[in-house]
Amino acid sequence: MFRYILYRLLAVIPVLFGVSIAVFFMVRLVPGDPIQIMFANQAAPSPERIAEMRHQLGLDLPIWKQYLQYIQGIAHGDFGQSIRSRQPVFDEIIERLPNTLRLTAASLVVAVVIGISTGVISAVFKGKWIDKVSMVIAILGISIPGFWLGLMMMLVFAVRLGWFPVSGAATWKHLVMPAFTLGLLSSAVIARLTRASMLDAMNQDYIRTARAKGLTETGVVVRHALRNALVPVVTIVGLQIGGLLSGAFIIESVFAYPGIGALAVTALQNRDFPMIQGIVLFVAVVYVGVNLIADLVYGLLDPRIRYS
Amino acid sequence: MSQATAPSPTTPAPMPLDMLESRRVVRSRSRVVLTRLRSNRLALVGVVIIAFLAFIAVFGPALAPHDPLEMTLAKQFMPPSREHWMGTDDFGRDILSRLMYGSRQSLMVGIVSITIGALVGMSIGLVSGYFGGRIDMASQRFIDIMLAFPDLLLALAIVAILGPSLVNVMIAVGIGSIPVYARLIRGQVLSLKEKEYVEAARASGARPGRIIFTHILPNSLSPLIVLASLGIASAILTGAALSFIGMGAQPPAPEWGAMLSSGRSYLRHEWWIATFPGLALTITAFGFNLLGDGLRDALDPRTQD
Repeated sequence: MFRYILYRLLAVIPVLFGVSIAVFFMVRLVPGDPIQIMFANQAAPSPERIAEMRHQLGLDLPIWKQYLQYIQGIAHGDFGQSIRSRQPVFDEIIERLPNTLRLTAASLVVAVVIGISTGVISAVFKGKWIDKVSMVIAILGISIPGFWLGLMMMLVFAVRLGWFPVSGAATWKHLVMPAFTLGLLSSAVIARLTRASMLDAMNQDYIRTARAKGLTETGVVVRHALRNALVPVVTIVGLQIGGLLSGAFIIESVFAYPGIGALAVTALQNRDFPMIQGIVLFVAVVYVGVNLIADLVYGLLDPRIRYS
Repeated sequence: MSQATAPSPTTPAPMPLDMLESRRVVRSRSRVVLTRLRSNRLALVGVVIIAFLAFIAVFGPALAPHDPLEMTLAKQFMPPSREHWMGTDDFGRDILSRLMYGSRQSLMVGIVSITIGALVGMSIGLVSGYFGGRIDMASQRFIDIMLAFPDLLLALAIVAILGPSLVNVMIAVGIGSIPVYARLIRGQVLSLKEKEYVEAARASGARPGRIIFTHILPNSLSPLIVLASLGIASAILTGAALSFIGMGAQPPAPEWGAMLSSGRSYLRHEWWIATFPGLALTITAFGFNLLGDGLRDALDPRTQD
C-alpha cells in the first residue's frame, strides 16, 4: 500500500509542473500585447503606466526568469493582483472559497443520495417500469443544461412559489436551489453507474450464497451487493467533485452566488487575466488533489488495483 | 458479401485475403449493429430527434415564419400566440424563428468541436499507442496535464485566450475533448496491436501507416462512434454555456445559449424568452444521448448474440 501511495504521489508532481507551465503561458498565448488587452475595457493608460505594469508583471524579463518569478510567487501565496479590483488574487479566491466549498459539498450530498438510491432501485427492479422511467429521467438529467435548470427552478420555486430567495448567499435557504441544480445533474451520472455496478454485483456467486443462507432480500441488496457495487461508484463520485466545481462556475453566476465560479465568470467577462490565471491554477490543483484522493480510496477499497 | 466469395469479372485485381476477411467481418457486424439499433426504441427516438433537428437546420430559413433578426418594438414581449407560437423577445423578434435558425449553430458547435477533438485525439492515440516508447511517454504526460483541468474549465481558459466568438467556442470545446479520445484510442491500439492479424501484416512487411489505417483504425472505431455521439450532446451544452456567459455567440446572433442569457432578465414576467431555448437545448442533447446509449448497447460485444 505504501508503495502505491508513494507512486501515486510522485506521479502528481510532473502534472502539477505541467499545469503551472500551461497556466503561465496562458496570458502569453493571447494574441496581441497582454497589457493592451488588460486595459481593453478601460480608458487607454498612459505610457508610464504601461511601462510600470510591464515591470510589475515582470514582462520585461527573459521568459524563464518570468516563469521562475511566477512559481516563487505562487509558493508564497502570491498569485498576482486583480486588474479590476487591484486586490491580491489569492485573497479574493480564499475569501470566496468557503461559499464554493459549501455549495460543492451540499450538491455532492444531493447527487450521492439521489444518485445511489435511484441506481439501487433501478437495479433491484431491473426491466420493470420504475427502472425504465428512472433511466430515461437519468438520460434526461445529463441532457439538461445546468444554467437552464437553474433558471427554471428560480422561475418556479423563487418567482412563482416564493419558497426560496432568488439569489445571494446570506442564509442556508440561498444554498438550496443552486445545490439542487448542480446535484441533480450529477446524480444522473451516479445513478447510471450505480445501476450498472449493482447489476454486475447481483450476478456474483456470493449473492447466490447469501440468498441460499436465507438472508432477507434487503439484507442481500444492502449488505452484500451494494457494498461491493460502491467501489467503482467512489471513483466516479471523486470525478464528479471536479465536475461540480466547474459546473459551479456557471450555476454560481446564474444564482449570483458569491463563490469562485461567479468570480471567474466576471473575470472572464472583464479579461482580468491575473484573476483568470489564479482561478484556473487553483481549481486545477484542487481537482488533481481530489482525483488523487479518489484514486487512493479506490486502491484502499479494492486491493486488486494496487497490484496491477 | 458476394464480392468476397466470387469476385466479379470487372474487379481489376483480387484483394489480399486478410483485407477481404476484415471487410466481410465489418459488413456483417454493422448489419448486426443496425438490427439491434432498430429494435431499441429509445435509440430510435434519438434518431428521430436528430433527423428532425437536421431537417430544421437545413430548411429552417425557408420554414421560419419570421425574420430572426427583425426587430419590431411594437411587438415586444408578446406571449405565445397564434402568430408567434413561442412569443417574442425584448426586441420583438419571433422566438420560434430564432430557435429554427439557432439549430444550425448548435448542431455546428456539436459536430465541429467533436470532429476537432476526435481527429486530433485519435491521431495522438494512434501514434502514441502504436509506436510506444518516448513518443508515448511524452504524449501521455501531455494528456495528463490536459486532464488536470475539468473540461469546462479548460474550455473557459481557451476561450479566455482566443477571445469570445462562436468559432473560438468550437475550437475551445474541441481542444477540451482531445484527451478523452486520445486515451480511448490509445487503449484500443495497445490491445489491437497484439492481435494475430496485425502481427501477420507486420511480418508480411506492411508499413506502420498501412497497418494503422487498414487494420487498427477500422477495428477501434466502434467505441469512438459511441463516445462521439455522447460527446456531441455535451459539446452542444458546453458551447451553449459559454455563449450563456457571453463568451460565445455575440448578439444579435440567434444562438440558443445567448438567447437564454438575454431571457434571464425577464424571467419574472416574460418566462417564454428563457424557457424555449432551454427546452430546445435539452431535446437536442437528449437526442444525441439516446442515440449514443443505443449505439453503446448495440456495439457492446458482451451483448453480442
